[in-house]
Amino acid sequence: MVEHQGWQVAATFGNPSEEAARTRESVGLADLSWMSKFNLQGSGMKNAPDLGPDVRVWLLGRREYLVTCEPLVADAAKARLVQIMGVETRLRPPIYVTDVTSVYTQLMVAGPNSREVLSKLTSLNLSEGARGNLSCAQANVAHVHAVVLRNDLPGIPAFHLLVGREYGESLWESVLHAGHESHITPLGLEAQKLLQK
Amino acid sequence: MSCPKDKITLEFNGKPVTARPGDTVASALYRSGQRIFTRSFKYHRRRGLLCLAGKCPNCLMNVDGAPNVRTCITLVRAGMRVTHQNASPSLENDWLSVVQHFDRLMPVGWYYKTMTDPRVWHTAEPFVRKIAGLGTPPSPDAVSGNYEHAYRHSDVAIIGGGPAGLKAAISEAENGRQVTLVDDQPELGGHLRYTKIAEAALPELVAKVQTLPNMQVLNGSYCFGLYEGNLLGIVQPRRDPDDAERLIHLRAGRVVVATGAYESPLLFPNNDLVGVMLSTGVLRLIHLHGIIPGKVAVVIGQSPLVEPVVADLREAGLQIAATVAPKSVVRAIGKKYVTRIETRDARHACDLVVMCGHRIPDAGLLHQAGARLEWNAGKGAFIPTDLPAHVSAVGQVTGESLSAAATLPPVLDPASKRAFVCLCSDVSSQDLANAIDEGFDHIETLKRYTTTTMGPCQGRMCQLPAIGVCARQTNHSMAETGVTTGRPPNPGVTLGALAGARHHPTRRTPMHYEHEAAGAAWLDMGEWKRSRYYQSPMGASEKQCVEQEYRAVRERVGLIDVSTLGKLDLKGRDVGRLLDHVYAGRFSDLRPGRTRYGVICDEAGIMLDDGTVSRLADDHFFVTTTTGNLDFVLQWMNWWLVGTNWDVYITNLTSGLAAVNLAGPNAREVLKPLTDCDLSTAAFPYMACRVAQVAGAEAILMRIGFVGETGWEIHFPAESGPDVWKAVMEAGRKFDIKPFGIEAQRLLRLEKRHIIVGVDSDALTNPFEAGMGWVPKLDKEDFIGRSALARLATQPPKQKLACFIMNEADLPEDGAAIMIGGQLAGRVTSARFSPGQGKAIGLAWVPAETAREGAEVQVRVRGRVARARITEKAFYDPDGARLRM
Repeated sequence: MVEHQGWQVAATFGNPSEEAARTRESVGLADLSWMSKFNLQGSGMKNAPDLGPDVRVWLLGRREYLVTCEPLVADAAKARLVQIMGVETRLRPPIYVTDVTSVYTQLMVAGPNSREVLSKLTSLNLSEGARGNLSCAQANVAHVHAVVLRNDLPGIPAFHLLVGREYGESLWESVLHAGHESHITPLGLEAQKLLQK
Repeated sequence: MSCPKDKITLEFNGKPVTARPGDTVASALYRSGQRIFTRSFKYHRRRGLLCLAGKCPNCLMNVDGAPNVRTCITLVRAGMRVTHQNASPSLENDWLSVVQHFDRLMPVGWYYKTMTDPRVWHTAEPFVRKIAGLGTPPSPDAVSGNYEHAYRHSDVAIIGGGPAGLKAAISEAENGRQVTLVDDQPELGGHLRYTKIAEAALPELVAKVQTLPNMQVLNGSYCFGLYEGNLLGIVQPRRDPDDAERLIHLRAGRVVVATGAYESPLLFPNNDLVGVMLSTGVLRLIHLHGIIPGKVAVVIGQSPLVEPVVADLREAGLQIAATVAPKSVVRAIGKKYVTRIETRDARHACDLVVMCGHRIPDAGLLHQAGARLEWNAGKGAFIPTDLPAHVSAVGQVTGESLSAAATLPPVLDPASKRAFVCLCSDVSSQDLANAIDEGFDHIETLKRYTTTTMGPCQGRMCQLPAIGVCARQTNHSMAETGVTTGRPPNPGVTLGALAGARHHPTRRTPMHYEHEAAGAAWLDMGEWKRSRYYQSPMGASEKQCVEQEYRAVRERVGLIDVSTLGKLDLKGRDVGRLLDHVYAGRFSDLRPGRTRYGVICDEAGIMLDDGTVSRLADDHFFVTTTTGNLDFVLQWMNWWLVGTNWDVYITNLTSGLAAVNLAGPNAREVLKPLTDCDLSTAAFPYMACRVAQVAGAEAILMRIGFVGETGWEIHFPAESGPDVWKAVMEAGRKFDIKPFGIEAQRLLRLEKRHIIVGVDSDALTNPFEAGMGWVPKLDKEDFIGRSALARLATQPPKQKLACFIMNEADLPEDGAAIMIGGQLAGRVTSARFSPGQGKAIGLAWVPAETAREGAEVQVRVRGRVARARITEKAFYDPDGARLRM
């Protein structure tokens, strides 16, 4: 375990380069719950705001967006948002920001066999045609309601599963179980850095 | 010559059997000399191989613990353990076969007429239970982990890997579509595998299918249902012992059914003898497995079907004793196996009878999808018509290449007790005739009364003959008689496959491991794990532990994890309006920094949920719901928001916030050093709320008191859960703080007469009956349930929720009956032993006139009647003075 941007995060589960290699070949599972997340709602939310290159904005529903980013850039993103929102007045359509970082456990399933593993847990169509990079959907995964975000690593398909925090361990176990056949590996922070290259 | 590594050894009834690669279990057993494969369901008659295509019930066995496996389409694996079923002590000698000599006593439907007498049933039940059913289910432990689900998506799904299916698959794939090809046989090819028609084309078709990149082939997998939205249920059996049996949910843009046609048996007395086989079954044995199933054969059938079969059999080296027309067959003769065929003018000795039976389009899936099956006299078959959009059919399933000459209507002359229509449950043509005479003369009632078409074969072997018998006996045509409704699953599916892997979701609160370390005894509340109580290391009983926790809260201070409460964040200018509309109480006038109790009622004034509403800012509310009703409340609010154009945005923060309730006379002293918030009653009175730091975490504090003591409900970010819990426990150490569980909480609130919606109330309870008539604010603008509540407010309730007290030894169970004058008058909803009162206390529904101080009622407690006294006020601090201290 290491301290990472204010969170206790698993650095490795043994051998970072092997974790990365197995992910490139087959599939890996990482806990990214430390990522910052906030919800944007309100009649003022007509378009996805541009919050900078390191911040992803996902459309969840009508005038409802989910923002994900690393904790380091979260404050900058919020500041940018305030700038966009401008001064609140009674006449301007309002925008409401709710921090949902603690609401979600965020697991990443990455690798060429990630679809194979997830297809045992969800009826969501994860094919390239139906679920391209940077698309998002909501579906049941292992009997739990999840927000599914596709956010590829360089050259590797990767799906992020956001479920209620209290389901985290249960979902982790379900994904490992479903990935047994594909020799799934847990991924620490070190291996994730290797995969980003 | 095969070398040893080409041999596979499996175990049949404990003895080794050698098989060749490519063998099915049935072909391997047949080669080893096994002729009897099962015993029939009712009469325990010997049954041997018939179809070899997985369509009949004659080869069902137990394979590796799973019952009713169709061994004729199950490929052998080394070490497979196969056992027979439905025969005792052995397939060769089954003592229950004596039953067939008493068939006169058990005509079809006999159990409807005899088992209605309770005396008969009680005598017969143990025996019936022992012999009923087919096969023995495996123990749950033996099959755990052997099943999983998988979801697939495809532009086109082709069901059936015969020539028509292969061609359709290739053409679709070549047009650039994603194709999934499903075939239930071990190898692709359909009837091309064992007949000589255009044999040369098969390898090319199969090779082509296997090279196309956008083609997924699921062979050896059977499709059991075609559901709405082109959802196909497919079972992929396990291939090796470590593999899981997989249920594939395939969602397809279009479905092409190419399931072909299958052969069904002819009707003549003793048509079920071992050695009487379908011609396709015989040809499969010869061409797929190199087994010649006999020496001298009689072929029953009609031109033009018979000739190619006879030629094929001759070529294989079989001697053909005779070729006879179905109409001239009088009966088959044989004790253990068939030895002769008697026709109107001769007897032919033989050891194999080959039936060239009717060809029936395998249209079950199309029928499920909504197609109509229409009798076509020219083809002698029910042909699927009116196919729904996105479903099509190709090949023999459409009736292609069938002709009436080859597929005579069933031969039925005369009805016989031993001419079996239904092989699954031993229903003969005589049985059907009798049932029709009894008045079951519609094909659907005939099916239900006789169970024909309801066995493992699901009508594949028996439907057409049954329709034939019904038509003939009722003097209707085949078209008028019609077919029975086809429903999934067909063929049958293991329950394990339907259940899938055990991905049972568990919800753990942020402080789960703190509780575990403190010795929590767990309680499963839905998916949540909650602490029922904390076990003591000294080995105290549950009652003692709960009492200690109770005393800590009443006398010192206690801490409970309430993270499972539903927590909703509501933002917007119109939140107050929404809450006024959804809750029976008033919230638009709630001042920031205040908390109020709320009850949600439906349009009929029935209580649905309760919780607290806190106003954090003008346009920001924080609402809690009961643990189980969160999803409902969220949906309910969103439902009533639709179309209002109100500025309300709801975020579900349940997962994001941990919550504890710190309660007891010392609660303030414990919390004081952990927070920057002024906790004095002047600054933070009862029913107030504040946002402040607690042990370094940003928290919402509410001064409320479910358990009846000075206390704070504190909500804070989930990831700080363990740290805050530890900090509070540490700060409480000098006050001898104790964590308390659900049991102590329920006891504490019961003393305060705080009800739990859904436990003390039910689906008919309104607030007036529950003693909460102060909740609905009938003077506010229209809200859900207003008119019903206004009416209820003027009517005296018939029953009321009342407190009662009684001797500890008489502590009733929740749900115990309340009696008045020997008559049932109500029920107990909650009862606990109260250490404070030294007696058993509880809440119960009683008639309104009885709900007064001092009234006496009787409670039925474990078979006897005990006395209880009704009280009007709460047992503990009825005026709530302690909450305001």
